Formats: sequence, C-alpha cells, structure tokens
Amino acid sequence: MFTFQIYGDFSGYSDMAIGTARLFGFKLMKNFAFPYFSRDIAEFWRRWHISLSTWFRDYLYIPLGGSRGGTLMKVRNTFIIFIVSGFWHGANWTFIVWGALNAIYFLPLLLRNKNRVHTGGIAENRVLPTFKELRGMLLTFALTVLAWVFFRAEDMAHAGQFLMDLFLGLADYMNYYKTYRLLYNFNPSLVFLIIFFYLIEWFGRHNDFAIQKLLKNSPRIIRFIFYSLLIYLIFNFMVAEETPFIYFQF
Amino acid sequence: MKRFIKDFFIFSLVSSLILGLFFLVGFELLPFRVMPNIKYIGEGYGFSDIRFKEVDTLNDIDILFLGSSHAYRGFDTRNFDSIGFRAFNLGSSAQTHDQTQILLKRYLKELNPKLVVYEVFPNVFKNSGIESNLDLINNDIVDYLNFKSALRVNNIQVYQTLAHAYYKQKFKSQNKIKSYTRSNDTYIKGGYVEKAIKPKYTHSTSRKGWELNELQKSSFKQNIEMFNSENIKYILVFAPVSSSYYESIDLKKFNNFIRSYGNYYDFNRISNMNDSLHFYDPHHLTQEGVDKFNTDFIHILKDHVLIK
Repeated sequence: MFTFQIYGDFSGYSDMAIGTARLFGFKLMKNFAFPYFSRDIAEFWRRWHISLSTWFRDYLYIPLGGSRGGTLMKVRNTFIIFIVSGFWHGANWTFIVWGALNAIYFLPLLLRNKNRVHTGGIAENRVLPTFKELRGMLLTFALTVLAWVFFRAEDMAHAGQFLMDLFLGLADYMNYYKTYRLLYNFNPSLVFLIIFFYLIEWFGRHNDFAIQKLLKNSPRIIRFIFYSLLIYLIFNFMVAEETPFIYFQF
Repeated sequence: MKRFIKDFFIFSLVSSLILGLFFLVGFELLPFRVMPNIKYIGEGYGFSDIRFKEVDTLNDIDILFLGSSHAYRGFDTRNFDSIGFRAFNLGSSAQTHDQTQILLKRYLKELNPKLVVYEVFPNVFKNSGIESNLDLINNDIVDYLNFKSALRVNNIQVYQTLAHAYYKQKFKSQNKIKSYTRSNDTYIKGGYVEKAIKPKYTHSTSRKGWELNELQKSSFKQNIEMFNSENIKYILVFAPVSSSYYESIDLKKFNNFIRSYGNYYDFNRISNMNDSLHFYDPHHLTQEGVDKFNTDFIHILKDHVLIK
C-alpha cells in the first residue's frame, strides 16, 4: 500500500504545485511520468521525482565523470549518486540501503550498456503492452516495492522483520492470524481505487498528465460526468484526519 | 479570463447536480463499507437514539444533566427520581459544548428545568467535536443547527454523515429501537446508561496538557449566557475520575477557567472514591461508584439548597 501511497502523495502534491503555477502563467517541469509502468529500473529513475534525478545527474553525476572513464568509475559514480540520493532523504541507514539497493538494481543495465533502452513511450500505438513489456513492468514494480520496504521502515530492524515476515512468514503460524485480521479489516474499495487509478494512468500515459487530455474529444457532458466522478471519489475516500504530506519531511 | 469564469461557473453548476446524483446513488446502493466517511450507522452509540426520542416526550423537569459520557454514565436518574426529582440525562458521547448548545436550543424551552447540572471534563474543551457531531447527526433530527455546526467543525466525515442522515430523514422510515441493552450497557429511562462490568484498576500516568479549543470555549461561554438569559439555575460539575487520572491533569488552569463561569463542584475533591472499586477505566465509574457519587451529589444539592 505504501507503494501507492507515496506515489499518490508525492505526485499529487507536485501536480498541485504545477497546476497552481499554471493558473498564474508559470510552466513548471513535470515531476513524475507514470513511473510504475517503467520497463526497467533505469527508466523508473527517469520517470520518478524527475526534478531531483535531473539535479543529481547535472550537479553530481556529470561533474563526477558520469559514464565516462572505465567500468570501475561508472560503478563508483552510480553508487555515489544513489547513496547520496538516499542520504538526501534522511540520516538513517534505511535510506542509505534504499539508495544502495537501487544502485545494485541499476548496475546490470549500466554494465551491459542497456540503461537507455527504454527512452520512448510505453506500448506506443497499442492499447495493451507486449508480453516483454509487461514482464519488464512487473519485475521493475516488484523490485521497487522491495526497495520501498527500507524507505518506509523506522529502522533496519523494522525492515528486517518485515522482510522476514514476507519471505519466511509461512513458517510462523502467528502470521496466519495477522493475515486473517488484515484481510478481515481490509477495505475492498481500496482495490477498486487502485484499479481505477491504474486504468486512468494507463489510458493517459501518452500525455504529460494522465487526465489532461483524457476524454478530450468526448461530448462536454461526458467529461463533466467523469470529472464529477473524480470529485465524488475524492469526497468519498479522502482521509478525515489531517495528514501531512509524506514528502514534507524530506 | 471571461471564458475561464464562464466555464468554471457552468462546470460548478452541472457537477453539483451530477455529484448530488452520485451521492444519492451511493446512499441507496453502496454498502457502507465502501463509503468510509459515513460514520456511526445503525444503533446509536451511547443510546443517543433512545435518549433523543425520550426527551421529545418530556417537559417541565426538575434537573437536567448535560455533558459527555461522564454525565450519562455518571448521573443515575433513578437516584433522583427516588427522592422526588424529575430528572433527565441529556449527556451524549464526547458531547462538546458546541453540541450541548444545539441540544439546548432544541430542548431547553420544553424541558424548562429548575436546575441544570453541566458536567465539565477537561478533554472536552480541547475536542474538535467530530465524534459528538456524528453522534448527534445520526441519532437526533437533522436541521439547520447541525448544518451550522458541521461548518464550524469542517470535517469531511461530518459533512458526509450529515448528508446521509438528511437523506435518511427525508426519504427513509426511522429505525425502530431494537433493544435497551447493548453489549453490557443498559439504557435506563431518564437517559442514564448502566454498565454491568466489574471494577478494573487502571493507572494513568501520562501528564495531560490542557489547552482550549476556541470553538468549545466560545460555545461554553454562550451556553452559560443562555442559562443566564433564560434565568435557569445551573451548576458546573467535574465528575469523579480515578486519582491517577486526576493528578495527570493540568488542574490549576482548568479549575481557574471553570470557576470563572459559575458555581463549580469538583467531586474529585468531595467524593472519596477508590480507584480499585469504583472505576472500570481511568475515568468512568462502576454502578457502585455512580451510586456513591450520586449520594454525595444529592447531599450537596440539599445542603446548598440548589433545588427545592
């Protein structure tokens, strides 16, 4: 759930800033470009938190030598940029490990010179992705979710316990009870919301922002119904308590 | 700019209608599980549904109790009936002063009490009023007073629950009271709720700061002004809480504030309660505790000739 929460939280408030600025005539760069449809981790980092990634690339990676130099230099620079990126989020080992893990994910692509394979659109001129694209998306998503465990955890022990439960949990009968409680209290509407969110993102993936041009050629009343449905969903599911943006702490 | 304003106006108008339709369809067809912002469906929490039905049938009583759960679980109306006073307990769950005000505006004139016992609890003064608002919306009539209160509280759950309750009031038949006993609570005629539970010693150590919510402060002030303008005698009462809980409160600040608004009786200093015998949680009395508290309270009523 944190995977969707952090994306909704951070991408949402970036979009608010972009939209508000646009109302006053300023055009800000987009910060997210459908990252969960990325086909490899290199593409993910071109689509996630673009402003920060670009900054790190321009002011850290390139001054360090970038991809020039030998293999060792490339590996060193990649680790430095990802670990500094992790450290930027907070002075906690969890962020360092999160950064290092992403560097490890990135290395095979870099070493095989395949880090810039997916620079175009996703499933261009097609409604559905190819099997290869889908496989890449699912693998990248799974790796990202695994890395978020460290990003979300309070400390390394917390992350370790979570991963133990995740991978070795079947051996502990108490986990069955926890799973039962989780499913019992689970709000089915969340599944509906995530599916709805994925559909909107998928159909709007060729635009800068998912709903920007969605239904643009449809009659006005259809667009109004669609926008009203979005407002209804916001009213229906918004959290009643005041919750600060997750990214405010960074 | 002109076009933007025109489009915005048209969209606001059309989408309001469509949204209304979505809400109606949701209220009618969707299970409450997928509408997480509509709260307290079904039987009223703390028996407010029964209490508000009963209060509608009463007039000219002797004593009216107001306040939170410490009121409706602390003043057993049978103890007052037995000595010849017609008493009614209009307390409700986490009742904030803003909600007390709604109830006073609805019922004070009809009830016309000789004495109002206004229970004051420190936490209520810093409460935003969401829980109490939802309780009132679900269990009493929905009118303009609720709407104004919802605007003051300004919370999505309150707005949605209010919309749903209004829809229910307009288009659905009222829920029939199914039972006067829920879990180990029993509603007693007169508004009191008796809890059949063994005492439990709970130690509360964390120091509780006390700050005022401006809305509750001003509502409390207005309620006192209402009593004065209607010439209704009132007293302010702090019902007993366990000693550890009492000691954790910033009492100096709280007591000074309350004293400035009228006759104040802090029963934590009057009644000699036992933490192990008279409480089932840090601030709610068992039936034995309630009877002891009420006996002490009636002594004060008589000694200070608060009511004839």
